[in-house]
Amino acid sequence: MRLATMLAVALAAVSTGAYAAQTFDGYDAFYTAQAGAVFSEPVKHEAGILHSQPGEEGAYTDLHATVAGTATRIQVAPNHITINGRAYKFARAITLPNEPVGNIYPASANVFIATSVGNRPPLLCVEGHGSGSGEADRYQQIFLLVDPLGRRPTFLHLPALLSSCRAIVATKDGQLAFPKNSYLFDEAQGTRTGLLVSYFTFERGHFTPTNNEIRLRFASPENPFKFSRQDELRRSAP
Amino acid sequence: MAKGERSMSDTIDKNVRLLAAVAYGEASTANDPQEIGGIAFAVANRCRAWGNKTVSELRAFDSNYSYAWNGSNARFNKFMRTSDAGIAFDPAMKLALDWSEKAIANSGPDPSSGGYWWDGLDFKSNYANHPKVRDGFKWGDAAHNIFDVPEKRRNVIVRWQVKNRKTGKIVDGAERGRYDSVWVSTATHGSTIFWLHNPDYLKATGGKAYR
Repeated sequence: MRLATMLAVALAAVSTGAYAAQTFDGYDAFYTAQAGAVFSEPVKHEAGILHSQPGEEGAYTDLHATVAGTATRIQVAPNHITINGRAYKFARAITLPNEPVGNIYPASANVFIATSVGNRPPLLCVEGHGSGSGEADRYQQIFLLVDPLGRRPTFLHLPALLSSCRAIVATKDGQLAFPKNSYLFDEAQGTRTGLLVSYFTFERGHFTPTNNEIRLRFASPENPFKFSRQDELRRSAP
Repeated sequence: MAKGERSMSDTIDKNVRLLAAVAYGEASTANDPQEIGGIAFAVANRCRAWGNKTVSELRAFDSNYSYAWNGSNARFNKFMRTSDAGIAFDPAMKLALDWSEKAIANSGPDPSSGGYWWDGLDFKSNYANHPKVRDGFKWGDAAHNIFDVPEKRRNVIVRWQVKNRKTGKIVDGAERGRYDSVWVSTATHGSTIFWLHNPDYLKATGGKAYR
């Protein structure tokens, strides 16, 4: 097809609204579809088995994976993770203000690993949830360990609202970015109609906004679990 | 003034107000008395179980317990903004306040049937990814299935890990326990299900009922 014909077809599609916005019924699919998504599938482990040690609180999962070519033992406990015997307490992770750190249920937690790319070191991410009520299901505890086998790994606690390890992206300049989400409101009705996905980076000890934002519109107010990208909605409007 | 009525000049205790705001904010807009009362009791039950904490202390220790109190819940915010007199004149807010006082005093009956947690409409709309579904849950009574969703049991075995005296390596030891769900429902009212930890889960993991 000649270029002029292709352009004409594309323009016609946009003007007639044939370019329909994709509707998502979950955040995993949305985040993994974003350019630069770092994590895809969690580390597989033997379901239905937990371990416990005398004198230690709670039970933990025991996973085995390869990180940067090294066989690595990862234990996920309610209040910490252990990487080859080195413990990282959740309460000591670096976090943003108003993002409370909490315990998680190890049996339903996910662990993700990403290999090093260019100057970026390997990454390990743990996500899980605690014992919340009501809309607590919308919040997930997310812990990112940058260079987990290095001498001085960076241990971050990332924003929780409708996010996950899958939400972490690598930007074009090689930085890691992750969203801090907030609701969009219909002020007249006082209802939550969408989500503002605002990306941040962590550089030189500080969280910094990247000015990259995505607006999501809920299919129905107050229900954030079915949504479309608002910019795509605008593009498909007649 | 009839006995038990609140004087307009009374000031509402901060923990009573906070609990009432959670109950009012977390309940559905139907303002079902049993639903509001159940939420108030669930919070107060957990406070009692966790070393008799006040509601403010519970919020400080575990702010992830309820997200109504983080500022994103319009009804919670409205309640906290309303004056004592305004609460007294609003039937639904007054209901939440009365239940809050009863729950803190542990003056039954308890609509949550001893629950410590609750879930609302998200349990249906986010069923596939809901934490309690991922953890495993079962109905304490089939009638608790108000959203017509399947029960989700997840069988887990917990094994001790011990040091082998000969090799020094950590190896699997005896079974500590097993469970088929983390959560068991205790009651339902309106659009809310109330929950407790499964005793088998607590026994197998050494977990605390209130954590």
